[in-house]
Amino acid sequence: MKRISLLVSLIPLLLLSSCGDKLELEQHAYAVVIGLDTNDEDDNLIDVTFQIANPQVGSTDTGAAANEPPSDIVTFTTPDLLSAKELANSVITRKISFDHLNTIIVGEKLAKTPLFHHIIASAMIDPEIRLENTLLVSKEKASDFIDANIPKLETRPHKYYFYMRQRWRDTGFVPLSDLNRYFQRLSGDLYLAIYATTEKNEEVRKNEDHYVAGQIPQKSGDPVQMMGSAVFKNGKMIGILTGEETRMSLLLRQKPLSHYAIQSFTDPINNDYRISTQIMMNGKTRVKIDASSDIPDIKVTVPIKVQVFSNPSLTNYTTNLKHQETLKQSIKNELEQIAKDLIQKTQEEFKAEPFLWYLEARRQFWTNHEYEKYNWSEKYSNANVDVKFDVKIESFGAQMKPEVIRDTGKD
Amino acid sequence: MIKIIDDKLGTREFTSVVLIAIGMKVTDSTPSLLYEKGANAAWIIPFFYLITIGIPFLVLLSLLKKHEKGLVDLLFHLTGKVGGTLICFILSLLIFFSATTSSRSYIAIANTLFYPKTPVIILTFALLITSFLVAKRGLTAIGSVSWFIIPTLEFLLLILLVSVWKDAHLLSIFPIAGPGLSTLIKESLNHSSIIGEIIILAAFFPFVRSYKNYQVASLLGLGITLFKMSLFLAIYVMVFDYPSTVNMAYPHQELTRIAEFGAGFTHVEGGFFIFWIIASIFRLAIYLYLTAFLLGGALRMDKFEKLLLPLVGLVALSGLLPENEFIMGSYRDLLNKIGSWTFISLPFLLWFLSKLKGGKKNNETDKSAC
Repeated sequence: MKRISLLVSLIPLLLLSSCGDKLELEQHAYAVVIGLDTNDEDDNLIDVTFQIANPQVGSTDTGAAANEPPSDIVTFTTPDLLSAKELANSVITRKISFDHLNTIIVGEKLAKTPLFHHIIASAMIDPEIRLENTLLVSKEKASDFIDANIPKLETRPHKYYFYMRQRWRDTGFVPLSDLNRYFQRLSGDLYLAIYATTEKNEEVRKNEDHYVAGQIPQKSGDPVQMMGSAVFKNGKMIGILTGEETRMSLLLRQKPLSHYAIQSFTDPINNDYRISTQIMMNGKTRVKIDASSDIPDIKVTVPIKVQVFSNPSLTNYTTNLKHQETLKQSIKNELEQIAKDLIQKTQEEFKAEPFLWYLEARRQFWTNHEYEKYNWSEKYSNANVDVKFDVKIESFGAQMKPEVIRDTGKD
Repeated sequence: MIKIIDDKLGTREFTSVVLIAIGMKVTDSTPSLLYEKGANAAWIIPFFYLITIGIPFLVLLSLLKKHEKGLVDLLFHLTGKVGGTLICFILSLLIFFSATTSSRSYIAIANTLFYPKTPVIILTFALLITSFLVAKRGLTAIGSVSWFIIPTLEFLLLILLVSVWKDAHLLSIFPIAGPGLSTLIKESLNHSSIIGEIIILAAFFPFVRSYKNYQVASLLGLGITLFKMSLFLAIYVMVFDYPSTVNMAYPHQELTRIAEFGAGFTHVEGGFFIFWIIASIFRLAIYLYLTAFLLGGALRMDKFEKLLLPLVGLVALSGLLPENEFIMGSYRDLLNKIGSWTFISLPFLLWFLSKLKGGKKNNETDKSAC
């Protein structure tokens, strides 16, 4: 009797194995990308676009679904994200799940309205929206972006965004922008989100970094360009940084995430050419802030290692130490100039900083109240900033000297 | 190795009991309680606990050593029959409410984050009935199973720490004093009951093999708990930054959702959740057992384990009373205040009485043997 009663009392335990919330893989539609846009008719409504992955494509099960597309794209107009999730089930027969969601795309127009923060902050209430989701701002409407983004070699959309995010870290042309970072940087600091577009507005420039998305000259290939960053202040987009500026803001941070980047510099000996190098962090960026007065003093030192990759002017930098010194100085000057321009831009245009220097500034204060009273963002716009690059040229590649065609003057 | 087999807890078992009963708190909604006023400097509060709870606890330890009695017997011995009954009753009430609020909060966590569609009533009963079954096995069983699971739990916390390390900004914990030192000290006094329950755990003294075992285990448990609490309160701020942490209801679960092992192995919160729910069942079992033991002490009942079933029903019902977890907020604050001051003052009161009695010969008949 005792045993039977014990067994009976164990039955509720089975419920903990989530019968109430059981998930059948088969019955779910997994949204991998969500697009958010303003509605053209009503300012308080948003257009929510779901890109729903077709798990059969790209798997061994393709035979059963040979003619199905890799994903389905639908757009709904609703007051918020969660009601769109419910509404979507009037069209999609399987239950929409955000479990595999990894990218949220926001149209630039929506990002520039105060509505954006309300939408994204209220979406966090749903436990399926995760803090590690990537935020991406598209120049055009997010729905157009998702429609146009048909990568040639990545059939499955989630893989595309997954690999894209991996590359982002390497190049530093775009920031690492997840929702966690967005929510961290709401009190006056700048938050950088990836800027991308499928609309081309090509311009050929000599410096390969000085583009924002859409301007990179490109013939054929995937339609999406990701370059530069959208700048958010207090939950609202206020401007754009180019790829070069974005990379520089990442370099100026104390905890850099990008490991190495290819960057070209003007050849100091022959100004017609540019030298391509790989730059790497040589230790951590050091930031010193003196916030004791109304005009804070900021001293930044960025230690950098440079590997020369190509040298189209064919100047001898390897054995000629004098040239080497000139090159080093010129790289240093160029980087410092870029940093200086960027800082000026943030001070004048955005009146806040994306370099996470507020972390260091906060350290100077004893209590939160004192820090808030000091109003770092405002003080920053008048700050004296001094950026120094500590450049070391580490290697010149595999050749001792560039192969120069000798002009013998015979022909 | 042959061990003496008796029904008592050794050092490591009792350490595990302390770690589960109090050390678990940093993984539930307790941090949000501390962040509310403590802001980014909440991680300093555990250091203040070293004084606000550490000193009363040391006083209590000296009393336990002197009288070689558990808390319940000590109360009856020093404050007399009426006083003992009253204080035991108050303590059991405090632990009962603590069990209620934490069971409700655990259910809220399971409900919001993992089982949104399962009715709260079913979750409540599933959780509490399991805890009841565990508690029914007695403290010896709870103790040995606690020792069995605690290494896994602590190891998982360590793994969690490593896996979120890349997202942590060390500098986020500044400004160092947060809302100001006076606020921090006031907060740590008012929320001392979070750690102060270690004083009530002294009721389990008769279950521990010897005074030495008890002393080592409880001090070790307290030390690890405080360290862990401080560390995790700091980690939450480092990863989510202030003021995001203040808005988070369950920072630990949020942290497990961020954790990932390489780019391909994400969404690992389920793994953490399983062990967490097992630990919470054991924690509730310890609390139930403690309530029953104290209530049994107050009522001078020898078979206090009979009280477990009505108690678990009461916990379930009172846990279901409020519509949601947040309605309990103000009550919880009040309870915390009452609890904190009770826990802090009780050892001093007992010490004073013990000193008073120490002069004259103790000829009170001691009937308390439960």
